Amino acid sequence: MHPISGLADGKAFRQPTPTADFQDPHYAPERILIVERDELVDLLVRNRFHLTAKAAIVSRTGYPEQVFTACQEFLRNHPHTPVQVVHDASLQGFALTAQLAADPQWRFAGSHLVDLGISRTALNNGSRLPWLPTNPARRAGVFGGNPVKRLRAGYRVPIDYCGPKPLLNVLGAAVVAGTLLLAPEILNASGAEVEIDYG
Amino acid sequence: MSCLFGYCGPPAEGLLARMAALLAHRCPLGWEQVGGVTASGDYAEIGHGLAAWNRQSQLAQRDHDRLGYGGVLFNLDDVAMPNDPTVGNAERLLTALNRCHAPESGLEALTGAFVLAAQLGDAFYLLRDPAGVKVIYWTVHQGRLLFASEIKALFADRTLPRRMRFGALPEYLTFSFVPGAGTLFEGIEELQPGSILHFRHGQARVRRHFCCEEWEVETPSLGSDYPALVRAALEQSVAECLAVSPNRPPAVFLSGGIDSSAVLAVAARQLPKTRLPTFSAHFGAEYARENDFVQLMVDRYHTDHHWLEIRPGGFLEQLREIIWRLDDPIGDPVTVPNYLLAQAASQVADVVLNGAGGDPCFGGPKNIPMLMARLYGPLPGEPPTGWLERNYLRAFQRCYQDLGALLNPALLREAGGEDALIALLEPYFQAPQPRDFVNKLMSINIRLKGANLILVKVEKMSSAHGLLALPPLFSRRIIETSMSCPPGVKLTGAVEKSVLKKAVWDLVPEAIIARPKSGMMVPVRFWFQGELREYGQKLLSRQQIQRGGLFNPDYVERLLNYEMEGVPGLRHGLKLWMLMTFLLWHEQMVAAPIA
Repeated sequence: MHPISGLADGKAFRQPTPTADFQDPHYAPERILIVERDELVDLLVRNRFHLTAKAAIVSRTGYPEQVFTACQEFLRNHPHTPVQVVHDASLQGFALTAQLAADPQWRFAGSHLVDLGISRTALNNGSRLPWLPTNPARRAGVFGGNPVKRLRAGYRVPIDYCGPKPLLNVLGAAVVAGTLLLAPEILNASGAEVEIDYG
Repeated sequence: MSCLFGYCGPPAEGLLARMAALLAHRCPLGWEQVGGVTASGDYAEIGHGLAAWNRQSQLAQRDHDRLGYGGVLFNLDDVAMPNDPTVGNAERLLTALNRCHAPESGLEALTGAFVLAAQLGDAFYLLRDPAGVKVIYWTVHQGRLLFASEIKALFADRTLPRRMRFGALPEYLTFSFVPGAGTLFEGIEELQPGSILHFRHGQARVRRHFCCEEWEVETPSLGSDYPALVRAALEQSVAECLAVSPNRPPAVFLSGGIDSSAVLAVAARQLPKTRLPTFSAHFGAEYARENDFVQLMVDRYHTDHHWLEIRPGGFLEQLREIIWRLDDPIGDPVTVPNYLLAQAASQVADVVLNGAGGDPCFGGPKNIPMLMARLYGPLPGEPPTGWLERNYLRAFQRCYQDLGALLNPALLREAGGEDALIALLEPYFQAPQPRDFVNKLMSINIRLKGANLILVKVEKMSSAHGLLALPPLFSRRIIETSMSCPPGVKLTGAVEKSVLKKAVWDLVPEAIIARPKSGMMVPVRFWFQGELREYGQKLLSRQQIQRGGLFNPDYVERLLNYEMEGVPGLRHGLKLWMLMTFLLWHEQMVAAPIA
């Protein structure tokens, strides 16, 4: 075994923040971004996406815990904060926004949720999409095929299949626009320069 | 605009005249001087450059005491005796200070946009205004205090060593300016805003007397109408600025953002019968521009508006001169629009108002990213200390991440690397006050980005044309008012500058108030692939870079070629601009003879 260190594994922010004092904040991020998997939080935060997008990024499981708690405070004090959901193209992913809206843990965000994830329509634009099994223990991934059949067979197109850099570029534009721009741009992504000036 | 220069210590024949010659561009109407032996037997001379807006003498002398200032004082009547039209301001002030038991207290009470030098008794003082609108540099050499509005004038003393401080180069590349008191020269310092320098028996000590953080209020007080407080402060600030040139209306720089719009709106209401001249820059129809927002203000306040289209072909011949007048390099491409706007405005006005200060004083666009950084804490593998400082360094989005690849490794090592940059910020982040993190960021931005970049850049570029630039949103009054507002009224949710927006909601169109911060997007990224390409390639050629020995020629070439891989954060155009500015500065200020 030759493990690769530093991979995004959804464990990077298990420790509480040293300055964790987020009771009753007067400020709020420009948006809260809920991602489907914990490791996506790691990927985005390690690449400092939270800084360029001025976003609090949490996973659907409430990871990292202190950020999840802060998000509750943000929305309690600033109820107009947009909450955007990013998910894989899968049956579970398509249902994520509705599930969160019904989930008692996420009740505080329920009426604000906006789905930014890959849509069913967008899947039709990609001919050689990489499909991974929802349960990785079951079978290997495949390329291409009819999206409807793949979805029914328990496959998903992970939102980060294109690699970090194109994902960050496209997601950066998507969260600002507040609309679904993902799939076609990811398919054509070649590291285009997206600059978000916060300095 | 005028300037101030001089020395205190052993007499130096002809030094003042040589200083004046190096500052000739700041003395369009000549210069004046006072000087003589001091009470302690030293010699002190103060020179002051005259400009159209300050024809009256700003120097005074009585017995062994003497005083001079450059810029404007807003509260002289509070400090000195009631106005006598036959007595000049400097003389009134000197008289008042002579009567004080503690002249330092009298000096510290002054507010305005000024730098001041005074020989009082056996001590010599240098003072910079609380916000840092005006700038002054100083050094002590051979027992003599030398001071001037620009560094180059200090080298009028031909024995003063002109050694570049290599440790400042990573600072310049990280911030696009040299933050704090240090400059790019060894032994030469910039007096920081709200600071007083005391010089006696060949020894200088600097003390910060205006500490904005002491005004911090964390929680709202019941019944306080904070927008009304800010509105009143802004109106008073604008009134003070308008009083400087009562017979000739000021020009106003308009960017299309809320800050300059607010300044114009208040000024226009205070001068209802005057058609104010306004100026804006854009870069051509093919680039992002703010013209529609500017036009909203022009139409609403019926200004006499002037558009400036800025393209490299129009300024390249002047670029070397612009950098010379910048004096201490500032690698922000906005310097060129600043210079050209001031050039145009100086044709119709002596004073120009601008919107500088809105961001640092009321919570600008860097605060939410820093709050997010604080929310997550250090990233995995990051040391448990210095992570906030590192985030702040990155937030400038300049060359912080490029330092290892861009700089000569030996130079970077000798400069102390990243640790030195973090150490520079630690005192600000670790200070007990302000306690609130947003207020802390504001205080840092006011003192570093504000006083060392924003104000200095505008001051140098407007002074280059004999124009006095005044920022009503960056005054002592505004800073105190802002720090007296609880942080939640400045950054309300994700709404930046919330209290300022509420303060001027009836004066500025909603489209401007509601729009997100944009900043002036100088299209250097496209210029270096087009009109500036040849110039950049020549100036930053492998041969030139190798000869200088400061930068890695391979990396500079990657920037010139716009290679995407291995250039963190991209922003090639901005990085090339910073390098170009530095090289033009180095060539004129370090390599070539000055005096």
